[in-house]
Amino acid sequence: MGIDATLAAARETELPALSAHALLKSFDGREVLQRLDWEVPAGRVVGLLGRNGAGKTTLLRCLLGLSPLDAGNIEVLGEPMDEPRGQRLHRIGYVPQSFDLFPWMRIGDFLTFTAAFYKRWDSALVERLLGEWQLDRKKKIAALSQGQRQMLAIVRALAPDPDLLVLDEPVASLDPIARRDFLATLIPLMRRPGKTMIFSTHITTDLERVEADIALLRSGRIALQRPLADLRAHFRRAWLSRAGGFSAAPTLDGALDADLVEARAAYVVDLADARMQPALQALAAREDATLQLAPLDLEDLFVALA
Amino acid sequence: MRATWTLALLPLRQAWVAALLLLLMLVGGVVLALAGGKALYGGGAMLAALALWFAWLLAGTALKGLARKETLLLPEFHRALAGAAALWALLFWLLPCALLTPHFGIRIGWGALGAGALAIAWALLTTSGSRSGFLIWVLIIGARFVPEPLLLAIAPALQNPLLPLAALLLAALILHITWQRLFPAGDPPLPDSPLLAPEPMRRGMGSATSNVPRGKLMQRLNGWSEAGASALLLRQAARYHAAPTPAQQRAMLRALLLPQEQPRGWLVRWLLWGAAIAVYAIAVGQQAQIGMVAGYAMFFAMTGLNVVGLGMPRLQPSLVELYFTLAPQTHAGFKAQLLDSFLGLLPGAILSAFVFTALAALLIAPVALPGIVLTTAILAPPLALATLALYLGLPVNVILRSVVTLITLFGQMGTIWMGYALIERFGALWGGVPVLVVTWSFAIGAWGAARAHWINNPLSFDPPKAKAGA
Repeated sequence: MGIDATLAAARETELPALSAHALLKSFDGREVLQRLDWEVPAGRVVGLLGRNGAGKTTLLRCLLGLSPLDAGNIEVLGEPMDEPRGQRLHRIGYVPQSFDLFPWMRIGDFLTFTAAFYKRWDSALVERLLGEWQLDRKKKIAALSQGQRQMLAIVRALAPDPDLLVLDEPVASLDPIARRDFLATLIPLMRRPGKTMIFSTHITTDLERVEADIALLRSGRIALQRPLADLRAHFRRAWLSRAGGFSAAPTLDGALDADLVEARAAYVVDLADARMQPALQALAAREDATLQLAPLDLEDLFVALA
Repeated sequence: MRATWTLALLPLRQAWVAALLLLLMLVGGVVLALAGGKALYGGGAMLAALALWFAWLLAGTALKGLARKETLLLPEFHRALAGAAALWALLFWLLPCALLTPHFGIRIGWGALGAGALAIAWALLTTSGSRSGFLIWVLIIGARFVPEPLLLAIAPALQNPLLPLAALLLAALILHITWQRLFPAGDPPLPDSPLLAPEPMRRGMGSATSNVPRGKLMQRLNGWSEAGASALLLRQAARYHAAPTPAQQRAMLRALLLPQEQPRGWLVRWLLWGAAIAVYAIAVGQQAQIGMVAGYAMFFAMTGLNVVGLGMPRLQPSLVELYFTLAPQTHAGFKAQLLDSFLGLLPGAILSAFVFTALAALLIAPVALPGIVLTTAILAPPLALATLALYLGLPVNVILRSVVTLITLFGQMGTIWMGYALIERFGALWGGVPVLVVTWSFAIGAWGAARAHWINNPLSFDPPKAKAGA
């Protein structure tokens, strides 16, 4: 690689892979995206979490120009996403939630057709994945199960070695073995300089397995975006217990969630906030309660925050 | 009981405009029959009968929509369907037959019962997507050729009071076959391209899989055509890979979206439609004007263009994949690429027009062949372009779509017959040139307008009725 190319690659990794500003999108009067701002740095693996109907699919489709926005600006790979802009699309891989593509075609024909358009196409990877995932080139796409179609969509998305890979619930139809295979294949490919991956999922264990950054979509906005290690290090469930129990969880400023569980007050707290630890201790002293801090796994965190 | 009512009202709710028109037709028929005196009694009864038959077509269409195995899992579905069927049979079959009896006597009433049952069975069979439903036309045409002595021999049998009973039994058999077809025991067939031009007989019959031939011969022919399409796609892919020019990209896109538009696909289409046109041409024989028959033949050749209107909504989910694969510079460019690929339908439609009209001419009036070929050469290309443009511009609203489709069909027929008449009357120069000028002017104008409309409208990547965000 020449110096110019190295510099260009370095500059590119400095730019965010994706940047969205004040996105607004409504369906039938319901605002799905509410002035959403989001920046995804290049070179990261980001897991997009959100409840059913939170707007994850809508957000991903808007980001890729597949669904028109009511307002807002998007930049993908350093260029505005107002138009597809030719070859930029070839640097993006996309696996939609439901894979409906060309059901009348055979797998081999479909891949041959698609490959012809790409300057970059990793045929060896395609053959390896087709073999490993037992996808017969001669089979019609319509004859594949939903899981197999998803595998094919993944093969197709990975083959051009995309710089930005967007996957909308890519493992929802896969069995646990296929899911592990998929992640084992995917992560080394995307954990390379300049490669960025965004995937929405409900399966939080997968996000934990790949050490993804977590972005939480709630009420039409990105409510939280942090590396998983950071969440693990700082997010805790704080329990307050006392002899007579609580009838309601006392107010704790800065708590991300508060609840009453079997007469104990339970809070989700971010200990990265320097004020939180003293506030908890003060509350425990005031309420004459014992304070316990417990680690949170991602699923608990999702349940508490989503 | 609520499920029974829901099912009974489903055909009327699904197509309420048609149901309203049929009600008017039925009332009109009854009023004519009752108030029009003896002269209009028969006409009124026929009108009412036709309205009832159309109502059964609506019922068949609704039943076709329900025809999926999951429906059978609904609690008490069979019972509710039987109740709805009984209600329909009572109102739209037994009651009208009973009302006929006091005026025409028990023999006619009994005969109407048998004939009505057959008509109902035929309507349901036709709407189930079965080609067998069209056999009735062959029988009607074939009836013209029954020799006089045989007719005289059959006549007493037609008077036999047991004949309606036979009709009832035949209707029961047809209904059984229809049910088997709607809810087959095996796996459903795999879908073809939404833009695969089906034989017009199977056009628009509902499900995405309705284009799939079920007979063994048809499966073989289809497999042979598919192999040709696949080979063509691979050839085009190799050429594009070697020389990625826009023209080659368009050729590749055509091979993907219109897999039947290649020699094998055309041959299969010609074989199927050629047979139908041959039967028709032989049936009408020398009695019909060759211009009229050739007009029909050309009309059939153009019906395949309707796939653009029918197939585009079903293709929408696949457009996402095409969008990333083609990597267009602009959304408008992407739409233009898609649109221009549809022009790939024209060679097949124009060639089919030549084949069908020439076949009709050879069977009816071989001496007229050169004239027919010339007329087809003048008419077919602009007519194909104009038809494609009109189908591309179909509005989303179902009623408006139906209106535009009807206008397109009548416009086609009118243009074809007018063109034939003018060329026949005034010759190739004085008749042909004005037809050429008028049809091409209209075709280019229509195509330009459709193209502008298509490119200026936002392109949806979502399947129909699934636009809400997740």
